[in-house]
Amino acid sequence: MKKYLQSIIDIRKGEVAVTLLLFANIYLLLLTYYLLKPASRSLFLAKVGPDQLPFVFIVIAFVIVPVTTLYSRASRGLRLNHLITVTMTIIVICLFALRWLMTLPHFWVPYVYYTFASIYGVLSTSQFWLLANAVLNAAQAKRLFALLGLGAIFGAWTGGEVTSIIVKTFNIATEDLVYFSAGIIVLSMAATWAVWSMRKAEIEEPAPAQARKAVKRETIGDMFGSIKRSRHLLLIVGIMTMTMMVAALVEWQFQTVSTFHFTDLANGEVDKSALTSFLGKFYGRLSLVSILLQIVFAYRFLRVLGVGGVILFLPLGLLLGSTALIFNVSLLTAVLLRGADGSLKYSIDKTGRELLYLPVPLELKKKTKVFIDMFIDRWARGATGVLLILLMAAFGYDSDPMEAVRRMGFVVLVFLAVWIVFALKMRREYVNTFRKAVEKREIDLSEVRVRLNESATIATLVNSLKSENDREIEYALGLLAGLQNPNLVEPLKPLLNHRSADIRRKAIHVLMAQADKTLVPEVEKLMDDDNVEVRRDAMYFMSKLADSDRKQMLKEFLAHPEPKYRCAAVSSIAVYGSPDERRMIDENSLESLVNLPGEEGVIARRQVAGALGYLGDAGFNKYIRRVLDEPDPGVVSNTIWSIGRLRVRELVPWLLNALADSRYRPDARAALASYGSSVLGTLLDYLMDDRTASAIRRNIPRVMSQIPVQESVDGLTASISKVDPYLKYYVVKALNRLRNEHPDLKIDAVKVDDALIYETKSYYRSVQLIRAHGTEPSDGSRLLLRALQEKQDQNLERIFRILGLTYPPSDIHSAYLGIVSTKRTQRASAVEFLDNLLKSNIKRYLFPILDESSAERVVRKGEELFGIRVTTREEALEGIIKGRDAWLKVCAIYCCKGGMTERLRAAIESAVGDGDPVVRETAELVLKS
Amino acid sequence: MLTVIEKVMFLQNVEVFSEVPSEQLAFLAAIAEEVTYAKGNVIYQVNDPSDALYLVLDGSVKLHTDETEITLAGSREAFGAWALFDEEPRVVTATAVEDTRLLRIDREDFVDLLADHVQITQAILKSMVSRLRNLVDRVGLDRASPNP
Repeated sequence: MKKYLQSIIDIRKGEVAVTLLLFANIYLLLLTYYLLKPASRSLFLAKVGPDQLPFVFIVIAFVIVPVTTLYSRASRGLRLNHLITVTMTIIVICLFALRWLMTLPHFWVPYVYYTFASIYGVLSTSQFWLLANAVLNAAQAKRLFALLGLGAIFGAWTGGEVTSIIVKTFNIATEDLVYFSAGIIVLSMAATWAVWSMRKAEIEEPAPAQARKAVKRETIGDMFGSIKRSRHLLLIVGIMTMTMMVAALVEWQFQTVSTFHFTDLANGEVDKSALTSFLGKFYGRLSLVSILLQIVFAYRFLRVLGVGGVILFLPLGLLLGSTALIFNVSLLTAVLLRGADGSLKYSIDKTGRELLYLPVPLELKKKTKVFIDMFIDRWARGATGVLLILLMAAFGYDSDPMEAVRRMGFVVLVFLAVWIVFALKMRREYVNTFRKAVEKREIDLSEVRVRLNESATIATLVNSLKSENDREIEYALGLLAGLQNPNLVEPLKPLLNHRSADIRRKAIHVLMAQADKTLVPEVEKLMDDDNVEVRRDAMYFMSKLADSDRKQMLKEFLAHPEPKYRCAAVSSIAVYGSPDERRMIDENSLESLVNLPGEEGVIARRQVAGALGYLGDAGFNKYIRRVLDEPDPGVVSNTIWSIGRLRVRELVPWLLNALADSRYRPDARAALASYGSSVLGTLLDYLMDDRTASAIRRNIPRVMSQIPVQESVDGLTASISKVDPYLKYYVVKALNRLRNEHPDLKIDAVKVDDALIYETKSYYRSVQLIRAHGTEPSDGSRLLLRALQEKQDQNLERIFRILGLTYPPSDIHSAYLGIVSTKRTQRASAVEFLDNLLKSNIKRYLFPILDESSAERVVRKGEELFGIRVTTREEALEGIIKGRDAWLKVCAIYCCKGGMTERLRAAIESAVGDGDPVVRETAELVLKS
Repeated sequence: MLTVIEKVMFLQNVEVFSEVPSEQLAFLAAIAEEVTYAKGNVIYQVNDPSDALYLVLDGSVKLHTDETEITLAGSREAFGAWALFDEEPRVVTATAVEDTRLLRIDREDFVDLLADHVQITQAILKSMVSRLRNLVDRVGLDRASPNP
């Protein structure tokens, strides 16, 4: 029973008081409304008559305009709690004024009362939902709105019942019910204040002073403008309009059929007592059905289908009812149709509709919600009244009312179709609005990038060439590379003497594109530059633009007595030369350079090491091995680059070992990646091999992510479940990168889901371990808890990284940032967003973790889903010591330093033979102590 | 000699490592060397090259210029932390006040470790940004507060 109640009423620790106060508040407001509503209607019908009802509808529609305008203006300058207090105080004053007016014999008094009650109903409930939206975050709202909806239905129901009891039992005049109402409203104000003071720390509302600055005279146009700018609000308006219009049409259909059913066809008279009794029973049972739907289904449907699914219930129910009515116009089908409308509209649909406002910022909500609720509601009803008059005439109501009802059914179907389209669009927009809210914390860099047109770009870049900042010049040169423009020559010339070798080199390249031979003397001076790469590029420039025979010139430099020219020539030919020119380099040229002594020799070997990759002659591979033994990191780096370019198969193990050396790691990764899919088998072998050094294994996934082929994805996906959590992080990260950069590659969703479920299992286990371990005051215990918490955080990150493999990565990344945020509202928005994004089989495992559940709840869920059960500290420690995570083992063993049971001693003794030296060392330390 | 886990117990108290995950602290522990100084021995002097961070295990160390004592580092307190990030010479002298046992993290080893463990770099940056932010907030508050 407890479990069942928990499944429909999910109030968590710290929420009880707020929920009860909100429940009491909406209950009281609806109770008041249902005291005032029948009183105002009976007074109107008794003193004015039912034929005047259309006019009072028109009066309401017109009075709504200034009321909503004033309300919206007030909402900009006041905090929500003050706004509610001011509004409700005015209402209480109005109630006393009304009571006094009722003593006067004026004909317009019933109109005023009717209009007031009508506006009160919509204003007070709208304000309440605004309050509930403000004080509850998205996740809480989703759990608790259904319960609050129940409070509203109960309030309405008891209000109706209480009216007659009060009037009959206490012999009180209908007019005096306003005193009761005023008293109840004061109680509801107290509840509002209490709720506000409890939650004010968590309400994100701009300070009133700040908001007041923005106050200006709000007009209906301004409010429409605010709504128009938000697609989300526009869709809410669309849905509200359709809801109200269809409700008015359905009500008309129902009343017409009911009246016809209780009419004596012989004399055309309506059996009023039978009709009243029928309507009484119908509306009474409708309330009960609403309560039942709200209690049993509202929260469950919300949990399973989300807001987007719930808002489809009412239009789909009406679609069925309306279709039935079209096929068979009878009291039964009319009851079904109106029953669907009445029962769903104030239960499941109402809860869903109020939740639609969740992703709307509070300020915008304050400004527009009451306007939408009041204005759209009443004007939609008014418009439907006009439409009804026209359609009744067009469908021949006077001659055959039942046929008119049937035809009206088709109009209802059209409205329903529009409604369903709006609801479907809303479903998508709701997720989008949440997505935007969740993403808001990020800066979109693409927005801050400058876009320049061609001429402006060149002028700006030329200007940048004069900059004092070397990076700015290099950036400009990079963008100008390859561009032919004679105006570039003069600004580039001074850069040939720039202090930075990179800038001198890049300037040569940009000048080369200008093919200006007058530059040859300037560049020729750079053949003696201190920097070998500048000399190499200057030689390239000379060989291309000088008048002399290019090949001959290069040959002369290759045989030059000065090693620096020989070195530049080898490098220049290797990097920029044609295959024919590369054949000019022979063993003698290389031998003379690699054997050079001293610093000059190191520089020469660096050039040779890099040149080997271009030369591609298998005969030169011996030089690769020779320079690999060089102590200079520059030589080794260039050699690694050449190995990758030449894809020397037998050097793959050497490259894999180089992954463990931070000096060569990036080069080794790039070199391995350049082997392409042919190296994937070897990489996977090393990845799976426990004997391979951790520093090598953790770099392999990154190498594989640089080989964007399906085999990489498949290999990495298959390895997720086979590697330890530490390596898994790198595997998933590599898959994330492949997914981001190559969305065309397919990832096996089943394997990913399995991996995700496995990760959630680890999370549940760590929650149980933390809980079972408890809080012991020792240093070792504190360290273990810290380590477990850190592992749990890493676990959560892996979960989201895995989610990013099958869901849009940017959405998942934003949601992750929301989940780890310290702000509860951001976290709740992220949970709500994920609730709408993820498949239900994943949510089943993931949501108990994310949904701010208590530790007990997560522990229970872990037992239920995976059968994990760790109850004692001893069990927790033993489990960790026997587990796979070396660091947790170390911490758990150290935790036993103060004393241990025989069972733990046995576990620690077995850890003395562990493969990890720190585990062994700690086990020995603890056993000695 | 201290084991890795025992060194971790000390290292987790060093402010600059406060954001470093405990598992990564074990790597720092592996490069932390235990050294001892007798009472009155100078650990480093003003203008010495900054080459290591120290953490007091037992004993105490006085940080001072010629005349003035700047501070006294006691058990579990670190000194010379900036040496890990900055090559500027020492600005104070460190002298053992009593027989003192220290953990010493060499700058070169530390830099090599950072190259291999990016999480340590991230955590140290996070802790530094947090300190900087606090400083900025304090300056902001000082500026905002009215003159007495």
